[in-house]
Amino acid sequence: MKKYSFLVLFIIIFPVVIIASGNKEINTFIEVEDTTGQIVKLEKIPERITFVGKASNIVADALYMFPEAGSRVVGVGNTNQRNGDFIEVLDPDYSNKIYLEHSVGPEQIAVTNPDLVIMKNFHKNGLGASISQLGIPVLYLNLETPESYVKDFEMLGKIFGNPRRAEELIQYYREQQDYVSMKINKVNANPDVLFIYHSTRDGVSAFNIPPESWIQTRMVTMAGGNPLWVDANPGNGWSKISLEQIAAWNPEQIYIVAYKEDVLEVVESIKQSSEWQELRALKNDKLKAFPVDFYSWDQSDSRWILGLKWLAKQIHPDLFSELNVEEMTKEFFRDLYFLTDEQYEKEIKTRLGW
Amino acid sequence: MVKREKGLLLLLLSVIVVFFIALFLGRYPETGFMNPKILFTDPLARKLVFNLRLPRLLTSLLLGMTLAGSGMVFQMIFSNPLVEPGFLGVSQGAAFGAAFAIIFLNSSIWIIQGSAAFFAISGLGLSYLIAKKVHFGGWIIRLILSGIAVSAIYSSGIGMMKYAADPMSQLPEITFWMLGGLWSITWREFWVVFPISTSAMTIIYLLRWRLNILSLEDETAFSLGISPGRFRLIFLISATIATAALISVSGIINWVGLIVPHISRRLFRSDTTLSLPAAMLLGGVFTIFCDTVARISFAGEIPLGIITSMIGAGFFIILLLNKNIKVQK
Amino acid sequence: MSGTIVELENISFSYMEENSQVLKTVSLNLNAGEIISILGPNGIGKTTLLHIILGWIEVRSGSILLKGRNAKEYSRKEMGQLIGFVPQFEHISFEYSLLEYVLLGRAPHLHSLQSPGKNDYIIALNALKKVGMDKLADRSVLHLSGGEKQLLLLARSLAQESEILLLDEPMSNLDLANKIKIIKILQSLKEEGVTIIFTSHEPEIAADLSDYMVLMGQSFSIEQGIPQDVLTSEKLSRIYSIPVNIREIDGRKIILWH
Repeated sequence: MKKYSFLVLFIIIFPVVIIASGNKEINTFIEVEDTTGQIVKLEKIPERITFVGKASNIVADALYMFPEAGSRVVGVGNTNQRNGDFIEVLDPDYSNKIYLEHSVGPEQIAVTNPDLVIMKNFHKNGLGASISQLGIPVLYLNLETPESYVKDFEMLGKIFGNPRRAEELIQYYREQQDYVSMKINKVNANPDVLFIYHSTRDGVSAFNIPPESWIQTRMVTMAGGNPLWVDANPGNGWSKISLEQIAAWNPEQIYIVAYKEDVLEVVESIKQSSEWQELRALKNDKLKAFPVDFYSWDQSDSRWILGLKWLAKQIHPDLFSELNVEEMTKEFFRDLYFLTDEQYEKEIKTRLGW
Repeated sequence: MVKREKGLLLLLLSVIVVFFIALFLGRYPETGFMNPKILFTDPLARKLVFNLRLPRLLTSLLLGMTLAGSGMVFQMIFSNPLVEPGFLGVSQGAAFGAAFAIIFLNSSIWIIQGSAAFFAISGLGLSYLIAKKVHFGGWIIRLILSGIAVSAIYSSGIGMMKYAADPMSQLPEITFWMLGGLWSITWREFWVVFPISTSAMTIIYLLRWRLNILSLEDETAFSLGISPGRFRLIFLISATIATAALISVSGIINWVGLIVPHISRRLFRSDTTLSLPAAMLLGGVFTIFCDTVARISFAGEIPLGIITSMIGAGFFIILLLNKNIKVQK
Repeated sequence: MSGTIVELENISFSYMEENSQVLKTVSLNLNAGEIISILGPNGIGKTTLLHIILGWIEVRSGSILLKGRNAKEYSRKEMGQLIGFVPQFEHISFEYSLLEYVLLGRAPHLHSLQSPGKNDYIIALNALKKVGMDKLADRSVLHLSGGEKQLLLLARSLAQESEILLLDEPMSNLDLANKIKIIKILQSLKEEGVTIIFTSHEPEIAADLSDYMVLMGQSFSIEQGIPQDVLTSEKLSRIYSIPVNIREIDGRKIILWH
């Protein structure tokens, strides 16, 4: 008897559902195929863009290379990795925008009333699928490798209606990459390099190595180093290693990052600790922290190109003697993000600690 | 007797009322109650309600009904008011199966369902078998202990798969299994789960009076002309399949299956003719309530499992303090 | 009704007697509409014998015939309608009303998908009336005294309306008044044609009540027959392994022990 009441409920609701979610024909103005293979169709250049989800900082840093971004973005995700939200600097209108935490649901996103949502590709099956149910187009950016940056810039060029800017960005990255690779190609000896990410979880300190596919590993190779940890991580994510293993490798150079902590403090405490003293890298003062402004330069954030050049200079100082790191940094933020000298001094240089 | 049947009707009405209230609660256009009128003017609101909230609420209703109904089945069959599918390796098995299908079988939703059901049933079977072999303590202790052990094995299996998982796309999904949540439910998930869980629960509903007899000693049930083994199997497998179906889309949700049957028995007494449908309806209300809390309390979603644990355990403590669990040992 | 209703032909079953497996072979012919009692020392296998008749325990060899048919040919439902069983003790885990509990006895008359109907409720209430507990129909089963519980179990079997009723030591936990109550109920059941088989520790009551008696003794000895023949000083002493004397007073047999 009670079961029938529910059946009645469903019978009432079902046809309403069918009617409500009827498919509308859209006049396609922009058609973009993203790296997940889906095709996004838009009627016009989007004017209310929301970006959200994990790795929002990486997404934002790609979006805001386009001057139109500030006026078109209405919903902003969490871009703080520990050192502040870079987007506050990039977007003068930031305080008027709707802020969305990493873990928001589709309703919260719907509140921003976007005509396009942009997210990192790994949200496709979760949050992305829910948002699609609302009929809101979702664009997924990859931004994980140098190659994908090219595709992603092209897509963004279409989205912002500024293909010329996209071309500029692609060219910039290609030139800088070529600059490094041309010099590295002439190298015979690739020093043994170890890249580690230091994390502290529940008070326990751990060293992690990246998998082969990630940009950190590729960066070491592109910068002329030999990433000696590659076989030790067959997985898809960070893998812990012990101090014993590090000692066994005894790398010539060690580069370290720590996203949730002050990496310089980490380096200091390592230099103080007795267990590390015997390592080659420490004896030759070749333990270095990756530079960090708002974000560490090792990630697949836009700064990876800075990280690459910096790393190349560290690994092969003789080859890159003419490279002025501070100059290249200033140039990067000026050309790509339109930062003034004043902004550079105040926001970037102070965080870098130079 | 008539009074209790009226109570059941009242319960049914509350389910419908709670359902519709929850349908219009959310964070769009603002946090709080949405005026149903805007459904006619705002297409985004329409899509939100019909494509996201409606399937989610329906699934949450199904989830509550299934977990509570299965919980009642388990408690009656094992003559033990302290078991629920989660304790006997069913939930963890389902989660393990689903995670396994996602990572290694690159899953269609049906394979995920099948894998979840398979491992859920294995979990139950293992718990039962191990309990039979243990020579320590009474039947209840043995069952709970082996259930804990089997659950732990599946949990660590899930943990191991975390290492194999892609940390960006697959891993968050696995973490979600352990905490449970309905944020990615769309019509697709609902229509897959609906036939499975509804048919299984219908079987249980139709046979519900026999559940009373199964709670007696085997020889007594036998003397009443029942094959206890056969009916037990029918009930347990139906309950397990229904639970596995839901868990594979919602992740592990604890406590609903434990506490709701208790409350139902308190209000409607133990005769499953009334207490089983009452448990199902109560479970539906409970889960819709918890899911709404999970959905709208904060800007970000809280996993449903956390809310059900909090509120469920709270109720449990109240019941314990009331000294009225009425377990005679 | 008369004629053989239960026939056990050379059935052998094993059970534990003082830490060793013992094999017993029994042949029994029990008549319909009679009251039969099974006596013997503790652990001799009386309850096992009941379980065998019920069909709950498999026998190694021999056959069991019920109403002339092989027991194996009966469906579960038919068995439920044929034989009812009142255990000596039953643990109750959940809270039912007395009526709901007695109602469970209607199971063999219902189809799997059926729930009890109005008629079943009436039969259950009548069963409660027969044991004198109909006023307690709505009370909870969890607060019954030992005697009331025994009557409850009996009521359930009455609701079952089976042709044969097996009872395992139905009077062991009861005071005098309740014992007499049960005796009267069993007698009235016999008048309705029900065959009653019960185990007992009390030869005097059993002798008084039964039409037929089965005495099970140590090491394979079985005595069976009408109480007159079976209840002798010599046979009882042998079965219980202690010396007893039988005296008759007012037509009833009294057991004297030293």
